[in-house]
Amino acid sequence: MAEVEAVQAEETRVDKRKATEYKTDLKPIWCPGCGDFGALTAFYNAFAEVGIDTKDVAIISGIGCSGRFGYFIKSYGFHVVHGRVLPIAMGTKVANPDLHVFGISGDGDALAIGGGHIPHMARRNLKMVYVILDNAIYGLTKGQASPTSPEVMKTGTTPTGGFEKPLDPVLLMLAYGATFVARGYTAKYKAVSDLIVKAMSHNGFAVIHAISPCPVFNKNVTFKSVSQLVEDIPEDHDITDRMKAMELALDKDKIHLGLFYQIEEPSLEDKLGLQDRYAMKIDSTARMNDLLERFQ
Amino acid sequence: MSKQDIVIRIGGEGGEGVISAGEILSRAAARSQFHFFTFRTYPAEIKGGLAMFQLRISRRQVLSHGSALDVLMCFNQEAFDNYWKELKPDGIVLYDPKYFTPPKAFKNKSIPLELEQISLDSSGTTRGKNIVAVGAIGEMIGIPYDTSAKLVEEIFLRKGEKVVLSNQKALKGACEYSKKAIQKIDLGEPEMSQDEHWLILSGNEALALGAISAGCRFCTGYPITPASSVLEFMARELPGFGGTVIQCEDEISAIGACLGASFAGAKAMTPTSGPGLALMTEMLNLAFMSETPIVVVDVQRSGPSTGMPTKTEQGDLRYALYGSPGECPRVVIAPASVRDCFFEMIRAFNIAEKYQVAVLVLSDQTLANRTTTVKRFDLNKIHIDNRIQPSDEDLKNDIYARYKLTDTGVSPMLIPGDPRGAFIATGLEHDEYCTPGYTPELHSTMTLKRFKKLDTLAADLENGGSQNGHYFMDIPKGAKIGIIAWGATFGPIREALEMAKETGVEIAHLHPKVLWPLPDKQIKEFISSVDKVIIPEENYLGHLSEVIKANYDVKPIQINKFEGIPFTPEELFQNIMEVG
Repeated sequence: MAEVEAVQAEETRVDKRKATEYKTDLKPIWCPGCGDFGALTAFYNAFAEVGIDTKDVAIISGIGCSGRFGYFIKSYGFHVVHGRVLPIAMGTKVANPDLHVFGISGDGDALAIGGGHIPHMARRNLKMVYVILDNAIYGLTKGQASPTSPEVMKTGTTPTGGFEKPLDPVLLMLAYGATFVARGYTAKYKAVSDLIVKAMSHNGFAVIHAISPCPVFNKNVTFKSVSQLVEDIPEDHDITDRMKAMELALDKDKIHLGLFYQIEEPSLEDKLGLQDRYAMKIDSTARMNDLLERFQ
Repeated sequence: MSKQDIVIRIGGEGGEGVISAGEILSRAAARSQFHFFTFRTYPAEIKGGLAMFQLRISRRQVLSHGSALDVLMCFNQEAFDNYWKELKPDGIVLYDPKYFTPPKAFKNKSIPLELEQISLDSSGTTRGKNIVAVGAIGEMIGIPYDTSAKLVEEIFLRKGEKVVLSNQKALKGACEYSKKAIQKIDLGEPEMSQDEHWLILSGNEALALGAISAGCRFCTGYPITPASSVLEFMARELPGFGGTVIQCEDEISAIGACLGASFAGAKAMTPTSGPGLALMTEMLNLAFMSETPIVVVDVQRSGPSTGMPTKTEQGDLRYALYGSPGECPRVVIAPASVRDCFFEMIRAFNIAEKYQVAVLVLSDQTLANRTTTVKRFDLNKIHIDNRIQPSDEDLKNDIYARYKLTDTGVSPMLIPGDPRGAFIATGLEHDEYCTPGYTPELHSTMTLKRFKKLDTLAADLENGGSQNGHYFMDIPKGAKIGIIAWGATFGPIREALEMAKETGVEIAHLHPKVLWPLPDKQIKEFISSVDKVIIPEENYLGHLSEVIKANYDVKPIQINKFEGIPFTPEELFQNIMEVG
């Protein structure tokens, strides 16, 4: 038995890759100190840990600083329009379920312009990993209020302070019924990496809210301010308890990090029977001829 | 009485069997070797409101729903009040005296047809009133009872044998009454041979069948009149072909999912109508910039805004061609008939895949909902184009140039999952290797590359081959007037020109099916061969007219109808003779 385990361990080790293998030659365009670097490192590490083949990865990213993500990872990718990561990820995954599909959005991309897609993706439970890189500001357009900006925050478009309450992505995802809801903090990239690995093995819509501070345009939500509030979810938290997960998300004093909620439900691929559907041998011409009979 | 063809209109309260009577009658006609062409209007109400089904029947193929009515079957007073003016001088009215009787002053021949009473007397229930209409009219034009009875059996079998029998009795009763009370109309001997295979199809059905035959295996959409039936058809049939259909949360999601699926290698399409197309604009731009193939079907309805969802209009051509921020040309195709809906969809997919572009297919409400006899398609003769994939040579240096500069403008496209390389498709300006860049040289080089694909397509269309048939042109000897038109007005125009010919006037006709890129050579030849160009369109502005004026040295005379209903051959004939 021990021998078998040793062989398996050996194989796993061989499968494992170096994180640097996933780096492209392009240098990220992000400002020095940007939280997104941590997320990128977390991705390299998670991919190396899983030993995933770059040909099997499709990264769909939206618009904003986070939108550039795909250019820095060796894989297939689609850099799309603002707010539409999820529909495009859905098409990609449904057309080729063998791909590991990742969606990358910022807080504006995911929750403002793209907010309408999230509940429906949660309903569908498509097997994919969706990472929301949240800096609570529009960085690429140089500092306007975002849906996660604190209400009082002064920005280019809220010169005397904001007047809208911030959204909490974790709470939303829990309410919508996403089957895997987690929060990370890109300063703690190892933990983010672990969450990505876990999310990749989840059979459904896995969402990671990654707090990723902007050192240039956001003076309120900073590494310093976030670091003071974050706390790991208690180890005894029952990840299948949705109410408990919501309680943690609603905690006004702390920003909890880790896996809030995970539950097993059939994925969209399961519900559509994609595996069987794509395995079918179909004589399309014969089938079309049969179909035409019905119109005679 | 003998006629070449007859136009029958059935009118009544929505939901009381007007549409089903028309549908059964048309299928029975096709099985009795008649050709037919239907036209229907829907009330905006879910139930109730005036519904109308028009059926033109002939032994030869008919290309339009006809002009004035030969037979008006009124289920109620409202149908009579609304439609009697459209009767021919010798047109007859059939009416149910239980509901109303035409006034004494009414000059046309009126024959009572007690729909409910005949049904009750022969079957014991009044429910077969629509079948009574089928039987009476069928008998009048020579549809054998057995043919209709067989059809009734097929239709009602799932409701049980009792229902079949009861309806067949109503049918029989109607036939017998018709024999006594209604004069037969002789439509001549069949031209359709019994071994020929004819399909009964609507435009939307033909579009969906064309898409599946072209290899479409991914379809998404958001319900919208009059395009929903394409989505529903695909939802029913595509899984059997190994494809997937998903109803999305909005049209943006629908087209987005198609782009994702296409990126992953599937042939994808989304059907919509004007308001949905408006939401898709940004994604069409992404398709162009990222060179991702996609087919979008726009079943045009009366706009703008919510407009008249159940009425027709050729109102989206300008938007299809030009409606984009940034310079984003689209390939635009407009099928001219139900048959075209099938073949032009195949063309649309072939072009989308071969040139890696978005293709817009413009149908319209009348084309979508009309049913007509269509000669069965020979599936073995269909040509399919697929996107080009990189050769090993293309990948030998271990760097794959997704947007490689080529003579045609088209670059080999790798499918995710292929171990030979990787790339990131993008809406940002980029170099051959997908790296974003904003230099003047790069943007001009890549803009030229993307536009070059359209030049290549235009040249390929011009040179024929698998792409031929992208326009219809007929320039008879001595023609001084020429009609240029697009889309579903084709049939009424052909018949209007027949009428002109009968009066000794020859008129030329050019009908591009691919509207962009335009058939430049043919348009020039056409314009120079006639003295006057007339462009009839079912819109106010004259969209094709604008395009022709902008691109060619000609001042077309416009005929515009913007009533939400299509041209009839008769009115087109009169308008053309007037302005020509």
